[in-house]
Amino acid sequence: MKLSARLAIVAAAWLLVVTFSALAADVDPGLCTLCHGTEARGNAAVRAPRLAGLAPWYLQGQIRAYQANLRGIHPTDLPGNEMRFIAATLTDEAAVDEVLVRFSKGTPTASTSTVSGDAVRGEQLYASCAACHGGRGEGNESLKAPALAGGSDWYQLAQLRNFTQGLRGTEAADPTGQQMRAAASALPDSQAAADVVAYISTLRGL
Amino acid sequence: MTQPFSRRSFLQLAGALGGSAAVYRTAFGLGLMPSGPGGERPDLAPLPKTGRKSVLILGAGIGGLTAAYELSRKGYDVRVLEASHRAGGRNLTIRSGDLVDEVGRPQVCRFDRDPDLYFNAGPARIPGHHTALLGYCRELGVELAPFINENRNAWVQDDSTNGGKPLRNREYATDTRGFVSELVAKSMNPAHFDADLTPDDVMRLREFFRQFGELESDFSYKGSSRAGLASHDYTSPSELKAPAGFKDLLHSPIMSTLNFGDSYDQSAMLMEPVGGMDRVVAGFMAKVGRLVRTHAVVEKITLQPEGVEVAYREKGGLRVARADFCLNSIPSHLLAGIEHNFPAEYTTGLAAIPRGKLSKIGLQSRTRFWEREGIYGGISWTMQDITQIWYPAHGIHRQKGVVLGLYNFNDAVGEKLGRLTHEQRMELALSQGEKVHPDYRSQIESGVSVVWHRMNHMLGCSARWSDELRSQWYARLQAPVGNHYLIGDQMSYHPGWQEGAIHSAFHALADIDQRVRASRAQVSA
Repeated sequence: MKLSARLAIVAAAWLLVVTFSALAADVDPGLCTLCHGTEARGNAAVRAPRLAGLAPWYLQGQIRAYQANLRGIHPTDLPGNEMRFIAATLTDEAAVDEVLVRFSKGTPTASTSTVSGDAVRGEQLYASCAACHGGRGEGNESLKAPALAGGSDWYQLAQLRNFTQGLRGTEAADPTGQQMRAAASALPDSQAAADVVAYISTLRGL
Repeated sequence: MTQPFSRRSFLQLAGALGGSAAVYRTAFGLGLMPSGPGGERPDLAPLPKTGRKSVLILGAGIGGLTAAYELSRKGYDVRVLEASHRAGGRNLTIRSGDLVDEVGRPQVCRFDRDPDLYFNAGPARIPGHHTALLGYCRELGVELAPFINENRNAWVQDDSTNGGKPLRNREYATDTRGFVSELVAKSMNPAHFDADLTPDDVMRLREFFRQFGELESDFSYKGSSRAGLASHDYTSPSELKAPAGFKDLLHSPIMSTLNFGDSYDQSAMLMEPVGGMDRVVAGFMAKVGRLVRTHAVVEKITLQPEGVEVAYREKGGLRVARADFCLNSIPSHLLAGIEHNFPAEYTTGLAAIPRGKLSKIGLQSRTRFWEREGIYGGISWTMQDITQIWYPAHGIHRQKGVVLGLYNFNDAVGEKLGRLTHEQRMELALSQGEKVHPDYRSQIESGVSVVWHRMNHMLGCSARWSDELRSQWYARLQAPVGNHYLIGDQMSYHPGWQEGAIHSAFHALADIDQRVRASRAQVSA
């Protein structure tokens, strides 16, 4: 075989490898931003929370929780179900992590407040939350407690309700979820969740 | 003096009792009847070669394509950015090999490759008064055929009625009408009417109801041949069917479906394009296809003092386009997640409009078993999640056909379908369809499910405006922000209908035309 022909074959094979590895390592961020917004700042209209600015370990942990059927399994948790189906398609861990890291570097916009609650009462109630999530809502990786400051209030309220109503945090294999379920259930009444969220909206993190 | 009514006097009375006047009022109230220059196709002033204006259209659905067609032939520079792999938006006809781009769960249609084996997963009917769309069909050479909405031979089924066994539509409708007529004719009391009725008037009304329900001379209902016949061999006397039990009919939720085909947009005459609703898209694309870029996903919209800048992702790269005007048909709930510099309250309005969660399932059947049941086109009703089964009016007497095995417009059911895998949806369609057609399961070869609020670049079906949201947001969102206009069926009083999308484009085009004319007058002054 002529050298040029052999070179052509090698080049073709190399191209094939590159193409396939590129395909394999490819997670289309558009799959995420379709719902979570172009800059992953969240979109309440389709019940997709902000991802921008959240720590990679938290985002990764939640993707894994969805994939392990620890979250989004309750039939009435509609957005959770939708996210679980999407998470199931994200099989390339490294590529997913790359996208999540990119989102975590994003800057959240100042959220508009949609929940009306008593922030003064919320501040008192928040004292027990601060133990894990930090006094300024900055989060604590060693406790697997995500940052709350800068989050979408509608989402936080929905999650507190999901925890108390048993839509989230019920699985034995999800100890941090179970902890959060216990903590949320300790809120004295249904107004308390809105009050806490109203207070969290005033926090600015670190 | 009692005389049997002639056909003419019957028709006169029927008209007087509601008829066209009521229909007209309803239509007018819904804003369907053209009531001024705003409702017509705008007569855009053609632009000279120098001094052209550019327009960027976001979304190649019917609204966007209408705008592209009208603007481009009047000298505007037009570009259309479409996020998905195809033009048409929710005007979607599915055939063999087509991709159904559901987020995270794509399907490929496995119907046989055959021009008659398709279904319309989005709009499927064109009422005779949707003059704008019909006008485009005429102009773009889209061949039309009658669409059959109501078929008295089709079935109605509910678990609480007739022991769960389906009844012919004609049986249910006739018996209900018979019983209601008997009830009214026997209990009619002039003192209960506001209108001044003479004894003669009451007599006439009773006579009307005798004919309306085909009652006996003593105003009792004993059955009618309109319900179909118990025995009928054409060469010997036929036998009436015994009427169903009145209470049974009354307690059946099927009652709620009886007037479906009477509404302004659902009553005869309806049309459909021959070969699929997307022939309308093909007609537009033949004219403006060169202006449409697919796979172009908008990431940011920036209002500028003299125009609009749009950043979009195409083939992995970020591109920027600028234009004098932007017509945007991106669904409001998706637009809420796209970066922009819209005024804050405009943004709040975008996020406030709920999205519809409608779904359809198309099923390929190995034989046209419904035709052996005397059903040629039309719709069967069942009070299950699948709601309706549609039979194709094209390809009659060929071997195979595609039925619509589910058409759901209840958002709660839509959410349930969204949680199911395609295989689970198929099982749901088969197990519920079996109650209408016992042999259903063995007939169905393959299927496609389209759950609109899970479709990529859509995440929703028709906008769910409430009266309250309308009064709060409609005018605000319909008005331009800078040189940016929100269009699409979402910006009409007719969401879910192509006619609404077209008129939303007309509305924006008329405004742009006015502005362009004004600015040119200024220049020449």
